[in-house]
Amino acid sequence: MGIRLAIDIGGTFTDLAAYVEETGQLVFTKSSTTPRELTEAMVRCLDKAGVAASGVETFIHGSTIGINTIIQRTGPPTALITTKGFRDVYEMGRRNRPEIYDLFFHRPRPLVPRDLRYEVVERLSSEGQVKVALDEQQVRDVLRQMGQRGIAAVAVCLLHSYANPDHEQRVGALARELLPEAFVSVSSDIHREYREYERTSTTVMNAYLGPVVGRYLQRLGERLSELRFGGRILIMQSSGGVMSLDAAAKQPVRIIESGPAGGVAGTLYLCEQLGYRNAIAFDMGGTTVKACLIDNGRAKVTTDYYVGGRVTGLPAQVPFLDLIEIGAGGGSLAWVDPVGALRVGPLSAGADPGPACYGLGGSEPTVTDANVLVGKIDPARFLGGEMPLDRRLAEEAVARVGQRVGLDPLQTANGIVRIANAMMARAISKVSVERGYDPRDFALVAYGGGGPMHATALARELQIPHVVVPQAPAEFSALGMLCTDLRHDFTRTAPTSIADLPPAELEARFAALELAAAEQLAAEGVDGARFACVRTADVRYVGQFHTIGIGVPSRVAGRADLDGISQRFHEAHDAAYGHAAPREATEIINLRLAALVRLAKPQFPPLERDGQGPPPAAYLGRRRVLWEDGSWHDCPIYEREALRAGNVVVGPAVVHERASVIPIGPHDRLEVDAVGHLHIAIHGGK
Amino acid sequence: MTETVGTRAAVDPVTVDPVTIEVVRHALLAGAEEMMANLKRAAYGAHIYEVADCVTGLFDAEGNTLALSPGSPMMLVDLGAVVRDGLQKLGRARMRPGDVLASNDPYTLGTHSSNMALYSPIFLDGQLVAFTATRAHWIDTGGSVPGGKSFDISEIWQEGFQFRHIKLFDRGEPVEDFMRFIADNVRVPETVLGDMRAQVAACRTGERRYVALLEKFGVPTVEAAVAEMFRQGEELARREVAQMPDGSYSAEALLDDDGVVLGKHIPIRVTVVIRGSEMVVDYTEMSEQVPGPINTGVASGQGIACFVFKAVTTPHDPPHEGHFRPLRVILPPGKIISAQPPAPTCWWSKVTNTTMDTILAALAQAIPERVPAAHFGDIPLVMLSGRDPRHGGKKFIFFNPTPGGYGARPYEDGESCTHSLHEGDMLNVPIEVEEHEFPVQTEYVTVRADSEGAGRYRGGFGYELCFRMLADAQIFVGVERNTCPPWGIAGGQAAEPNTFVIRPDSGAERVVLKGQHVRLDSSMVSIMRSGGGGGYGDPLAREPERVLEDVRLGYISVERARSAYGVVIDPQTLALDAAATETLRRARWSG
Repeated sequence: MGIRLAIDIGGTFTDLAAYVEETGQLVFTKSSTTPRELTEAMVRCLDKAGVAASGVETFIHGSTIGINTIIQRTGPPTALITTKGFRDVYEMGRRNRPEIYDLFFHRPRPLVPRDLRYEVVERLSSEGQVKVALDEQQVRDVLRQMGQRGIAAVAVCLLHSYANPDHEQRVGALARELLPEAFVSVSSDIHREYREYERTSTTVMNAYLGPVVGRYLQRLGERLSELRFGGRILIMQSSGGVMSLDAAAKQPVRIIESGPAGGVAGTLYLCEQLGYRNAIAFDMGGTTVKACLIDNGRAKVTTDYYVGGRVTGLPAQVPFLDLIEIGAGGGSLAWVDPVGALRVGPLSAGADPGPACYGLGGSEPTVTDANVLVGKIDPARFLGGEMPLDRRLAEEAVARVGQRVGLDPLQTANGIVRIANAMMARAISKVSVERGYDPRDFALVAYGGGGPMHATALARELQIPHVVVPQAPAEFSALGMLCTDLRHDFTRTAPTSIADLPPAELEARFAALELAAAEQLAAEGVDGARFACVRTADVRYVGQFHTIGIGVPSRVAGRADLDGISQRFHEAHDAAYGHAAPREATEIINLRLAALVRLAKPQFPPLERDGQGPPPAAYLGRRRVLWEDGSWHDCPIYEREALRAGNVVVGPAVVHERASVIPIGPHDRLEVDAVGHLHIAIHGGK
Repeated sequence: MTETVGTRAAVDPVTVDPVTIEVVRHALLAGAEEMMANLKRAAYGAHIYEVADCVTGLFDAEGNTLALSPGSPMMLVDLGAVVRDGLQKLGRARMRPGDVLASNDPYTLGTHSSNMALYSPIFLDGQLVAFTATRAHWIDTGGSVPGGKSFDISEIWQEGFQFRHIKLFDRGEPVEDFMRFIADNVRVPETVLGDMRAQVAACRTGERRYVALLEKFGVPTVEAAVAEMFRQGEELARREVAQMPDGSYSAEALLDDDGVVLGKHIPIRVTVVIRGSEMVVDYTEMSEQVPGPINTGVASGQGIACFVFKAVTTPHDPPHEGHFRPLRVILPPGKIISAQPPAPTCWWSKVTNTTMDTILAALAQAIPERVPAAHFGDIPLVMLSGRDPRHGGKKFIFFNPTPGGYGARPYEDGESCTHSLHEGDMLNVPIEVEEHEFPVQTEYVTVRADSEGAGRYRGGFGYELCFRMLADAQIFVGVERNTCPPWGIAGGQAAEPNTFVIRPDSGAERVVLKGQHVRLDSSMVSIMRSGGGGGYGDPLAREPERVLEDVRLGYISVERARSAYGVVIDPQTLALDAAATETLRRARWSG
C-alpha cells in the first residue's frame, strides 16, 4: 500500500494527481510549468499537495520534453546510416505540397543534414532475401568518421529491413561497439513496417531524442531520489500505455504526445468504470482542442502521425492515440478578415498576455472573453477566485471586433462562441463521422479547462445524447496517467493472402511477437504470466492499399478463425466506406501485437448521497446567461464541490467548479453519480 | 424568463449573419474533406491511395464550386465544368435521386480521358439542390495501349472508351450492363472497378453531409450563406489584384515538340492584363492544337489560369467559386489548351506546368517580389506495363511521379525534389511498397547535384532515379521542357532540364524522347533525371558562404561553384578562398 503519483508537465501548467491507497483519497493540484528546469514545477506541485515522495510507490510521468525537442530542433548532432543509394530518401520525404496554392511553400526540415547521412553497401529484396551482402569494413569506416565528428546519436535504417533485420542489427552492434558513448537507434528495434521514408524518419527522431530524453529522465530520477523516492517510475507513451523508464530512454519516440494520451487513458478507465463502450474524449486547453474516439472500449491508435502537423511536420510510425487537434482553445483570438468575415483562431493569446479579461495586456478578444460576456464564466470565480477577471476589458475587446462586422458586443461574443463550437464540432466529426461512426452512439467526455464549458453546446450540435464531466477535469490528464496499463507494441509487415495462409502459420507469427513481448517485459521485471496480448491484423482487399485493423483471436486454431477475420473486415469496410465486396480476396499486411500488463487503478471515493435537490450550500445565486441560440436565461448557479451524489439539476443552469464552468442548457438534465462525475442528458437526444 | 436577442428577429430572409456564414463554410469543407478521406482509403490503385491522383467536391445546383478537397490543383478548378456540362447535355429533368453519372470528356472537362469524373445530384424534398462530384485517374480505360498513354495516339478513341454523362448508378442501383462493359474493356478490372466503387462511396458521403447541412439551416439560409461566402472570397481576391500595377504583360515559352513531329517547337504565349481589381489571362496567341497527344480541353486552359490566379491572390483560403470572379480568361477554341474533337489528349500534362510557369513569367514583370523563378515544369513520366512473373504473370500498369526543383524566390532559395505545381499534394509510391507490388528494383535515388539554376538565391535541385525492371516491360515515356529549361528571374540562371535515359549493362546511355518505343528488361537500367528550378538574381551576388555550404553538402561541385557563382573553393580541404573569389567575381563583373 502506498501512493500512486502522476505528474503531467504541459506547456503552461504542471499537474499533479495522487492516489493514496490507504485512505482512498485522490489529491489534485497544479503549478505553472518551469521551462528552464522542468522538474522544478514537479517539486512545487509535491509541496503544494503535501505529498511526500518517500511514500510514493509508483510514479507515472508525462512531459512535453519530446515534442519540444523536435519542434524547437534542440537535439544533438545526429547521423543516419542507410543503404547505399538511398541517403536522400529522408530529405525528399513523400515529395508532396500540402499547401497546393502556396508558391512559397516550405518542405519539412530534416533532423539530419545531408553530410551526416552515410550510406553502406548492402541490399535486400522486399521478401528479405540478401541481394548484396553487408560490407562490414565500410560500416566500421563510417562509424570511425562519425566518432571524429562528435556524433552523439546514430540512426540505422536500411531498405526492406522490416522483412529481415539481420544487416541492420549487425550495423547497430558495430555502432554500439565503436561508438560506446553514442545513442544508437535501429529501425527494426522500433517497428517493422514498410515505407522507407516514414520508417527512417521515425528511427532518426528516436535517435535525435535519445540523448535529450535520456538526460532528462536521468535528472528526473535523481531529483526523485533526492526526495527519498524509492518506488518505480513509469513513463506515459503516445499510445496511451505506460512503459518503464529504461524502455522510454531507449525508445523516446514513443513518448512524444504523452500528455494528451493521459486524458484519453483517463477516459478509457472512466468508460470501464461506468460501463460505457463508446465515447469521445474531448480535451480543450488554451490553444487547441483534441478529440479521440473510443470504440467498443478501445481508443483508436494510428501509426500514420506527423509530429508538428502534416504540412511541415515529420512522420513517426509508432502508435499514437488517433487524436485530432484543432486550433481553437480558450485563448484563440477572434478577428475580422479584410472583407468583413468574423474568424476565430488559429492564433492564440497563449498564457501571456492571455485573454483580454486577464488584464495582462491582451487587447484582442478570445473565446474566454466571449464566454465572460455571455455570462458563462463568472469573472469573480475564475480558478476558484484565485484569478479575478476583468469583464470590462473583455467587453472592450469584443466590442472592437463587433463594430467591424456590425454586431453589438453580446451578439459578437455569442458569435465567437458559436464559431469556436463549429470548429470544435469539426474536430469531433473528424474522429467520428469521417471514419464512419455516428456521434449519436457515443458519450462525450469533456475535460481540460475549457472542455466542460463547451461540451453541452457541442453535444447539442452533433446530437450526442450524453455528456460526462469527470472529477477534476482540469487535471484529468494527470489523473488519467494513474489509470493506464503497462504497454508494449510490436509490428511486423508480412503481406499474405488470407486464403493461402495456413492458420498455424499465422499463429506462429503472432507467437513470435508474443515471445518478443515476453522478453521485453522480463527485462522490465514483469512476470511472463501476467501480461495480456491484443492481436490485430491490418487487412485489405487484394489490390487495395489502405488497411483496416481487425482483431485476431488470442489463439488461431483453424480456418474458421481466418474466415472470421475476413468476415469482420467486410463488416468494418462496409461501416467505414458504405460498401464491401465479400466475394473478393482479402490479405493481411501487418501484424500488430500490444502486450498489456494491468496495473492497479485508483478507486474514486464515494460521494455522500443526498436527494435529487442540491443542498442549499451548493446554490450560489442566479445569473443571466446568453445561450447559443440567442436566448437569454436567468440561470441558477451551483457549486460543484458542494453537490452530492444523486443530486439532479435541470437546465437552464450553470455549475461552477474550481477550474471550469459547466453550462446546462434548457431542459438538459444533470445528475451527480455515486463518485461525483457529472452526467448530463442532452435535451432532444435519443 | 426567455427573451430574444436582436439578431435573430432581425434576420432578413436573404441576409445571414457572419456567424452562420462561418459555420456553413466549415461544414462544407468538412464534407469535401470527408469525401476525399473515404475515396483514398477505399481505393485500389496505388495512384489513388498513395499518390492521391483524385479530387472531391461539393457544387451548387448550377455547378458552382462550394468546397473542394485538397489534391491536384489541376483537378480542382475544372470539376465544376463536369456538372455544368451534365446540366447542359443531359438536363436537370433526367437526373434522379441516387443517380451516379460518369464523364471523361476532355474537350469540355479538361485534363485527359483517363480522368473519370463521377458525380451525383443531391435532392431535398424532390428538388435538385446540389451536386457531389469526384474525379479520379482510372489506370486503364481500354485504349490502344495499357494506361492509355502513347505518342502513337492520334485520335481520342484510341485513349479508351468515352463516357458522356453515362449513368453508372440509376436511382441508387448499379447499372450492371455498364459494370460488365467496364470489366470487359479494361486491362485491370479489379483495380478500375475498385476505384470506381470508392468514388461512388465518396459521392454518397458528400450527399449525406450536404443534406444534413440543409436540414439544419434550411435551404434559403445555406444559399444566402454561400452567396455571402462567394462575395467575401471575391473581395479578398480583388483587393490583391488592385495592388498590382495596371498593365499588359506578355511571356512566351516553347515546348519541345508534340512527340509526333519531333523537334518542332510549340509556342506557349500568354498575356496577362491587370486593370484595377480585375485580371485577364489572354491565350489568344497560344499554339493551335497539335497532332500529337499533348492537347487538353478548355476547362484545363481555364483551370491553369485559375490556379495561378489563386496562388498570387488568396493562396491559403480553401477555394470556392467566389475567389475566381475577378479573373477573366480569353481562350478561343482550337488552341492546344482548348482542343476540339478528335484531338488526342492522353499526354495533356506536358502542356500544363509550362503554361503555369509562363503566366507566372508574365506576372513577374508586374509583381517581381511575389513570383518565383520557373520550376522543373513537367511531370516527367514513365508508364510501365507488363506481366509480373512473381505473381503468376499478373498484368501490371504502373507509374510513379517524378519530383524536381522549384524556382528561387525573391528572398530565399527554391525547394528541391518536390512534385510539380500541377500535381500539388500528390505523394510518391514508396520504394518498399513499389518493390513489393511491382517487378521493379530501385538502384539509387538522389538529389541531382549541379541541376539548380544559379542565382543570388538558387533554384531547388532536381532528382535522379535509377531503376531496373525485373520483368520485361513496355514503357511509354513523356519528358518535356528541354528547349526552354527552367528559367531564372532578375539575372538568375536557368536550371538543368529533365531527361530520361536507358543504359544497357553492356553499353552507353541513350536518351529516350517522347514518342520513342522502348522495351525494358533486366539487362538494363533506366535513369530519370529531373530538372532544377531557375535562379533569382545575379549568382555573383550570392554569399560565398552559402555556396560553400552547398558544396560541403555535395549539392554542387567545386567546379560549378567557380563557373556559376565565381566562388573559389579548394577541392581538397573544401576551404573558401575569399581573396581568389573576390578577384574572380570582380573580373566577371567588369567583363
